[in-house]
Amino acid sequence: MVTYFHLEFPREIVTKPIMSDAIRKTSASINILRARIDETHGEIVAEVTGDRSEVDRIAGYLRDRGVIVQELSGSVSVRVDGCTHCGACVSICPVKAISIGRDFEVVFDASKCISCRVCIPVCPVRAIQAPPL
Amino acid sequence: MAPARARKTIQEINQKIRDGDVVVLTAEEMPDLVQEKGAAKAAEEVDVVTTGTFGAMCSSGAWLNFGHSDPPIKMKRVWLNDVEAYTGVAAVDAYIGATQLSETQGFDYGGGHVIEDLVRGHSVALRAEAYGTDCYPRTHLDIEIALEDLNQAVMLNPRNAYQRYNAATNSRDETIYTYMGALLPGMRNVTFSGSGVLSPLCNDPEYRTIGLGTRIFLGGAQGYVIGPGTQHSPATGFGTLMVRGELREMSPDYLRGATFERYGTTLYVGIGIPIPILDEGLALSTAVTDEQIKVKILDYGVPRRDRPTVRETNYAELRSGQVTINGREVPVSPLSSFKISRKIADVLKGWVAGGQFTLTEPVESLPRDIQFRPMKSRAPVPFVEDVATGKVVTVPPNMSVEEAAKRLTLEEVNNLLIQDEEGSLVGILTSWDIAKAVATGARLVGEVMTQKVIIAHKGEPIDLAARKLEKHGISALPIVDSRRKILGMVSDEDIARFVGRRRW
Repeated sequence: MVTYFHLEFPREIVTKPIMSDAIRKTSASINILRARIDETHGEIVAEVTGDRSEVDRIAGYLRDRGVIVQELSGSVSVRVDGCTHCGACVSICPVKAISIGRDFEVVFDASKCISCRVCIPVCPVRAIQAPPL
Repeated sequence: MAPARARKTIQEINQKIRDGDVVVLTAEEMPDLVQEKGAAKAAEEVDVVTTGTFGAMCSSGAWLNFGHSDPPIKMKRVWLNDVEAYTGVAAVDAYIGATQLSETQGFDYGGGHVIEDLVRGHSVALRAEAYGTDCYPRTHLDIEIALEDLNQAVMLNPRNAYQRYNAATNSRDETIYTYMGALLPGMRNVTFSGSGVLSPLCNDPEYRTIGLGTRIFLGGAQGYVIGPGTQHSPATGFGTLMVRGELREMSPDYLRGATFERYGTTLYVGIGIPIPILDEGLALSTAVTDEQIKVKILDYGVPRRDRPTVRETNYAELRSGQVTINGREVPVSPLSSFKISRKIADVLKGWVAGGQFTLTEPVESLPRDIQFRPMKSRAPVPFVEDVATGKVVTVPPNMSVEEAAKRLTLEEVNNLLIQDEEGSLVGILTSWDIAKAVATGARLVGEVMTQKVIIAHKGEPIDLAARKLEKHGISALPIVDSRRKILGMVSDEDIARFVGRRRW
């Protein structure tokens, strides 16, 4: 089973090696899809493979260390407005929710979207919008 | 190929346009016709083939003339919505370039967005500073202006419509942000640019009909080719165009300000060029297909002028959405919009067929044999190994932490490099790692060392090493060869010392 998480690292814990600890302590398979970290704040979108109890254990461990953990689900709607159909987003999407259709239009499959938001800053004309997490 | 004997002239085609019996196809429709009927027959039947492209074209901008204020001002610096325009010309002329960033919004807004806002009819804040002269006494200006208020607004793009463009991927272990978009680590995606089968210059690769004075579709209006673009490199198949058009006649459907994440701003420009089918040769060249247009996939993970080629590909494979790299299927992103490129070719086809657009004979041809040259360097680029003076102390991973701490103090260094039996770099140990070992009770160097060492490769320019030091907030990089053998240590001091000596 694959579960997606949005992890937020407040300033106090940004310098701590929490992800590597989580991987070692839980022997989880964690794939980091996107990370933005600086001295003040950290944000990670990660893919965790494992059964429910294992996934919960990892989420619990991260919460204990002060990480704000949010499980991503496909229910969040993404609004697309002013798309030029350039396709810059298609190869970035980790779950192949975005593709190029028969008529060379960019097609967004809301049922596959995990609302990880990695496509949002990649869009050159800022056409993709989603409510903040 | 020798130019085939002309069978039709541009004048004859223009007469057909005026008479309403011109036959126009898009460059996407032409290959099938030529395949079916042959080039000779196709050349007889078809008069014009239209092309189109819509992509990020950084070398774009517009000359604006604001008119004179009262009292008048000779602008020394000028900003439009906080984006600086170039005004090193006469008093109220300025050039707004697509990639200039806003001084207040950074990557989110730039010259490309100013141009789009103007074309949309939005008013923009014009701010200017001047030193004041007897004839131009005013020193400050702060007003709102719109496109209709300007005397002239001429789009003048020094380099547009690249014939084709190499695709991009990234071998590094981190995402990089480039003008080719975000490139995922470990070559997990590929991006490309250009419209392939619809590319204007690919459909007339010998520039027989495209030259100075060719009337074109530019940003939704009629514009002109005014010569070869900067970096025009026909000898390598990378021709470019310099173009101009009236901004006031353009449409935001074909001009879009854009941002490439953590790279900068640009302008998406729509260009379409009609190609008169004067003879069989032009029927053949406009029958070019995506498969026939070859490009390389370059590794943008290597930030040097000559980026290594990962493999060769073509536009058909790129447009399929996947390419194979090292036996793995890698997803591909186009960065140019094929949908809008196609729309441009269609709109232009409609203009020509509807008699609104006649063709022009170029006044001068584009150069066909020049090649883009790299920048002339005054001095060779210094490499990390040329400036490195850092002391290297290596220890094995099975050394005790206590012993390592002693070495660190004794040798008066900030870190130890961990080397395996083959002499390869496997880790780095800093005083912080030793503190960690004390806290966790770890005994051996190998247990507490940092395995992911930020390194410099032999032959790496110092500018690149400086960027790594800055990016990772560290003070030195071990230098290794291709087999990770340790060759030295380059520190920020080494680089500062060299840069200090540099004569600019």
